[in-house]
Amino acid sequence: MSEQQVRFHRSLYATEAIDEAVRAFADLATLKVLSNAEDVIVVIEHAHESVRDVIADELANFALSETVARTREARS
Amino acid sequence: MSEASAAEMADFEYELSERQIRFVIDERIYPRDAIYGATYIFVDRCYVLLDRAADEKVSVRLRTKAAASEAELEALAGELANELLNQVLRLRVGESTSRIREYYMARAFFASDQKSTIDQLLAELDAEEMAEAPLEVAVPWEKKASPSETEATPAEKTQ
Repeated sequence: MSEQQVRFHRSLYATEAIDEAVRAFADLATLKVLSNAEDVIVVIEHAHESVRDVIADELANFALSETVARTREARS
Repeated sequence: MSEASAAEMADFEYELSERQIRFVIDERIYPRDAIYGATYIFVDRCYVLLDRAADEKVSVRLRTKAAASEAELEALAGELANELLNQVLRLRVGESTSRIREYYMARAFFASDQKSTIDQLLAELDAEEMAEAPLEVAVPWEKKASPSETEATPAEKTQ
């Protein structure tokens, strides 16, 4: 069983954006969210075979896109 | 290109390795919104990950979705550098013109008692059309052709 981790620094990624990304990818793998003072860490386990190589990167892209969208929405 | 190699493009340093480039960007020069805006543009072609390298320093990692040569990665680095500059300019223009935009918005909202130019033009056109309408096309056809108000047609007379 291969485990992957994606670390999101709290100052750069909105927590709600990470939660949204986790919800979006929940059907493709078992995702656990851990956190400490600086980071939110998403642990990816049992990823579907077809997405195993890209799920961590896609999750990071999704979290960034959501963060950017929320930042822009807050400013407008 | 398995070994990471450092490259420098003017004052913009980046690190190349297999299918990816990594930059450390100074937030005092490129504000976070500019970094967000610039990196977001690459999301369709690359996997983007931001990290905090140090205080006011953001590490950006771009990993290409498809295989890329060293030249292509360098081109990507140049593109990101240009986009960062573009985003900074957009932000500054946005900030410097914010008062003007607020003024126009306020004027648009608080000048609602006056008819807009388009409304005025439409009203003028309506008035002109109504004034010179010898065929009374503005009157609904049903009213004009209602059997109770009109005479019978020649066909009806013969019956």
